[in-house]
Amino acid sequence: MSAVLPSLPSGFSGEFKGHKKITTPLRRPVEPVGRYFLAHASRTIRGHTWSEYEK
Amino acid sequence: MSAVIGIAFGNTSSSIAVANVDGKVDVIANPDGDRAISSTLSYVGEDEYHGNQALSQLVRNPDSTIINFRDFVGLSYSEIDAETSNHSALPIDINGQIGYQINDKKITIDEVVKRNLKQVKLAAEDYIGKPIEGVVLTVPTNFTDAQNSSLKKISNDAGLKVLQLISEPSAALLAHLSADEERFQKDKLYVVADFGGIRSDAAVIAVRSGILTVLATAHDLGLGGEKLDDALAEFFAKEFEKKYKSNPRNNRKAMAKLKAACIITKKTLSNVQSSTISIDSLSDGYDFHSTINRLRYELVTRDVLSKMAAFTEIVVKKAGLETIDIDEVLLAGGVSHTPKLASNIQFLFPESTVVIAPSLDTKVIDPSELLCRGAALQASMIETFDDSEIEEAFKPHIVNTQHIQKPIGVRSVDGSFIEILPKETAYPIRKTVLLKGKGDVLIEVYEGDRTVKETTIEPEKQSGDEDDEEEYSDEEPETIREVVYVPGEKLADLALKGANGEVEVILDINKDGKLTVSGRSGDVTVKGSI
Ligand SMILES: Nc1ncnc2c1ncn2[C@@H]1O[C@H](COP(=O)(O)OP(=O)(O)OP(=O)(O)O)[C@@H](O)[C@H]1O
Ligand SMILES: [Mg+2]
Repeated sequence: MSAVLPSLPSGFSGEFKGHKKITTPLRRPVEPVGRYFLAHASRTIRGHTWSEYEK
Repeated sequence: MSAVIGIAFGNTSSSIAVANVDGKVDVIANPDGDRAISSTLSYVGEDEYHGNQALSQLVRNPDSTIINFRDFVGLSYSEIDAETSNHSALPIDINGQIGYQINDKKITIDEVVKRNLKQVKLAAEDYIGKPIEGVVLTVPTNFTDAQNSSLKKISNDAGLKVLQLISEPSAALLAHLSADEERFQKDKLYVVADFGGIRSDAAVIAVRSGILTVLATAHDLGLGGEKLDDALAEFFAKEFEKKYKSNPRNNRKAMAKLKAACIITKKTLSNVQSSTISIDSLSDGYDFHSTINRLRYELVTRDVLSKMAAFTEIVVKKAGLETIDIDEVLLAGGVSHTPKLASNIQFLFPESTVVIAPSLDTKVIDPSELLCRGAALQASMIETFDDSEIEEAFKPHIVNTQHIQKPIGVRSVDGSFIEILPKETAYPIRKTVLLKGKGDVLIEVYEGDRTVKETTIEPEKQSGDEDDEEEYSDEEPETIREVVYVPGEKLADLALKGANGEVEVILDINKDGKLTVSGRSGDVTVKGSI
């Protein structure tokens, strides 16, 4: 029962429109526990991309 | 079995756990058969006692029995309140360091902690049958850097090489989440409330794509199970005094006996409805025998239990949230076995919040074992890393991460906000959702704004009997409040032409905060970045 996307308004031109950047984020520590953290750490350390990690 | 273990070292008890190859965790009992091993050392003549054997010396040898020392790690004498242990060996000043005078010898806090950890190590090696190669220890979230490095050093000196210190609430939550892999996948806001022997601690923790972030913490260093023991001891002291006209309160040994018995009675009442208490020659030669039921116990300890429950609300406020924002409250620590505490907390939170406690669900992990289990899991996870890798992983540039402050999602055709990344998600992150859409569709990416939806439920009227209606008129209609996010600021529009009915929407925020939106249906793919 997933949500339904609206149909494209007739006047819409082009493909992508960026309107605004995301609200200022907050930098804080994540807890260095669990395998999802360890995956995050090794991604950051080894500069792995998401697709590499997902293999 | 792994040779790395997890240890929860509390002021009241120490517990040890080890993870097996299949991911199952064993909590290790010491040779006396105790899984909650008293963090107590006692010296009688030339002998050193540890654990529950040492604790039982509080009656006969209080001055050479050391309890509640964990929080003293890494502090100097001037930083502590020495009054905290007036029924056991008192901390003394040894050249600025905290220590104890045992018979005619002085012993420093470092030595006390080291001996406690050595005993814990022996118990673990006895169980595992080989030397311990490394340990993950839990520490409270308010331990200072100095306390953490002091504990590491002492543990290493005790022959327990510290792989990592992890925070107590994260250890508890890790154990809870790991018990069922699906739990890790669900983005939720947790309160972890830990009620120990002499302190209570709480944390609000966001779980986002398996990553844990602490949003707020609270500590009450004067609220714990001992307060329940004191209230119960006072209740029985009154009863005893009335019966025998003898006051046990002025007699240190009598009170030690009474308190030890009260601890057992308290624990019993967590499991059954009534308990007896029996003490031979309590005071002036009189024996004491009595019974108490759970209801009476809950009255006697009402103030303490209410304070503990209210403490969970304090941490939610500190996080800038309301109880309706919290998905689950995980109860940890020995006192969390208390049924009334769990029901008090359940009462403070809305019905939609799940309170995890043994009295509400018999299948939950024992709250006394959550911390050591989480530590053991973490130990087994990092076992294969070498020291430099571990050191690198915990450096600030890895751990300090940007977190989005508003949820990001898309607007559905009915105008509602479909959350994809909840607030407090750490990035880099990538997440995919599957939505419906046919033909030419518009993917509108929004940040969500928090609103509170109120639903009023009229009290149920007695059906059929009109005369009775008057009696129910004083019943207030109940208002149910819930958090609903609605589309706020629009971030981007992405057109996708020729959707086949199912559209995959992917949000990706890279480490520099660049948001990429992708849409995919069949072999049509569109994307854009801001
Ligand atoms: N079944 C039970 N029912 C009620 N209380 C219990 C039960 N089991 C243990 N307790 C109480 O829980 C407290 C100890 O909890 P815990 O072992 O979590 O403390 P700790 O972490 O060592 O101490 P602290 O958090 O103060 O440093 C004691 O007061 C003990 O009597
Ligand atoms: Mg504790």
